[in-house]
Amino acid sequence: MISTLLEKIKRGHFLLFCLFVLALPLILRRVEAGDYYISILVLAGINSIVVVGLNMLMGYAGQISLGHAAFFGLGAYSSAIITTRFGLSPWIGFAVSIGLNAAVAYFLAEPILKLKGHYLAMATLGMGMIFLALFSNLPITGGSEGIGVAKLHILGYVLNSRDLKEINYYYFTWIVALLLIYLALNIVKSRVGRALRAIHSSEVAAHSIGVNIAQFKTRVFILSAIYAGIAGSIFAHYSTFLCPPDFGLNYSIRLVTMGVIGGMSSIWGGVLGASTLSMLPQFLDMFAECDILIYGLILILAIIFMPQGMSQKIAWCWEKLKGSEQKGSEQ
Amino acid sequence: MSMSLLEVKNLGKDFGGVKAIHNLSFTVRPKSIKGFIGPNGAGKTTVYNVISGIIPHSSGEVYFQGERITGLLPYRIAEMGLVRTFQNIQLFRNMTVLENVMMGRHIRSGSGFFASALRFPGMRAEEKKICEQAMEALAFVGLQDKAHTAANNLPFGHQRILEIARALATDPQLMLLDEPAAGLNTKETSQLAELIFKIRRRGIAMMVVEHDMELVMEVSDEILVLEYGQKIAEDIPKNIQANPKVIAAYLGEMEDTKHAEAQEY
Repeated sequence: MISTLLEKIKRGHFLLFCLFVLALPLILRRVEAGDYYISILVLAGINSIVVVGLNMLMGYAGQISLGHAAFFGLGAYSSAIITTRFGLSPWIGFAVSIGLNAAVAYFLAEPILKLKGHYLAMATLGMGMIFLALFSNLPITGGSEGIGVAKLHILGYVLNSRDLKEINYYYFTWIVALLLIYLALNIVKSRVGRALRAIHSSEVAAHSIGVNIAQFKTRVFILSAIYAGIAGSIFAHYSTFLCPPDFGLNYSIRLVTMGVIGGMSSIWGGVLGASTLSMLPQFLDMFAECDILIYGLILILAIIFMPQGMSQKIAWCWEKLKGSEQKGSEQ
Repeated sequence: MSMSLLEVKNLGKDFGGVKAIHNLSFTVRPKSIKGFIGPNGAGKTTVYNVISGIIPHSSGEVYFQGERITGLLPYRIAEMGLVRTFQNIQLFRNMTVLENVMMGRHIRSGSGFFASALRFPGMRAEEKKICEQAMEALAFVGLQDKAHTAANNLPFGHQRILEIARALATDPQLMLLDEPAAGLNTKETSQLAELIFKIRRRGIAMMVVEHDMELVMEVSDEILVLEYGQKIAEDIPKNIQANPKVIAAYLGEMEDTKHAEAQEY
């Protein structure tokens, strides 16, 4: 009986998650400092979007990117520049963010994705550095002085209104995130997802069985760049001020870490890893100066005991629960 | 237009100074089975690699169904109906048995990122069809009961069969099998022979690289013998067995092995 319930949960798990996400801030608002927690969840949502895209590239297709902050930053600065320097609608900013990221990823894909392993990692590192240099030095980005970002408004309603800012952005961010998660889940369960996993497992076999390796790698790279770009734009309007250090190696590494801890070969793993690691630093505040130490320790322990990520561990527990339930009913 | 399914003409492959394949010419007729033998290191897998497009050729040409395939990428060649298996089994170990075979239907389907993300009705219908056709291929080779097993958990003998099922699912005209019997016991080998005949009855031609001479003699219509990258014989099994050049090539291999063993002492 429990296993049928588990089956139903599994099938409806996306909807359940949506309900949970949509209801959460209503509960948090009643808690002391609720707005603060909601603001952290906004960042969790933004990071989730990037990591879901990154997981499709790294976990599914088996490629690596140590420079995804570049796409995130490109999206953020696109929105900033379009709204602040050109005074255009933020929605045009979103469109430019998506278009520019897709174009850049398309042109970078050809030379980069021919590389493998460490060489690919280095190329993406280089990509990250180049973009950071651009963000820091191009006059149009405001360089190290930063750039302001106009407020986001939907049909005249401004999302940055003082007491509703956090909850507005929470809903905006997570509705977009849920949509992008839904699309990603569909992709990995399809012929495309299978092809990506095949490429990850054995490129030579995938190629010989008819998969156009170059095309798939390019397309998933572009997709992950678009996801990062959308997240960057959302971040820009939330933060209303951008400065280059936020878009460097530090963030790129954090993204990969979120993916690995959550479970790289899983879309839910991406959400889990991003959300957990976005929230964790706040809970470590109580340890004062030791917080970084504890954070590092948690990461090390996670990798030792859950090398395939949290999502894999949860799936394993799930199977055990189902299995033991079945054994129980046999007796 | 020639009668042959596969035509290899003066094929050459150099690795630096080493001529791995030298002036190789042969044909494979439709619906036939061509044994492909030769001592270790003769270049048989290299020939497969060049024909299937994994490595580029150095000279000569290869034609498949009358069209030039030398210089094409592997996925294009697979689309045309030429697939292969691997000596060291290249299964997709992160998938189930069924999913491996479903990959065989990749070239016979077309839903892309967009259609998959939005789950268009066409994509869903296609997924269902892919699944059914994959199950058919599994049933054909007798692995249908293992459909949801992790490919990595299959016993070795079944892993080889799975690779064949995956290749079959592409609806090929020609399959290049690379040592399909390696590591199989006697019973499994005779089941493999039956499977090979079953595949031929379906109208699919095959090349079979093998070291198991009994199997090769049993299934082949014709046998091609390679030594040091060059063809030394191409004839019916009976004549190959009596061919002095072939015997010398294999005796030579035995001598090399004995010599190496003697040197260890």
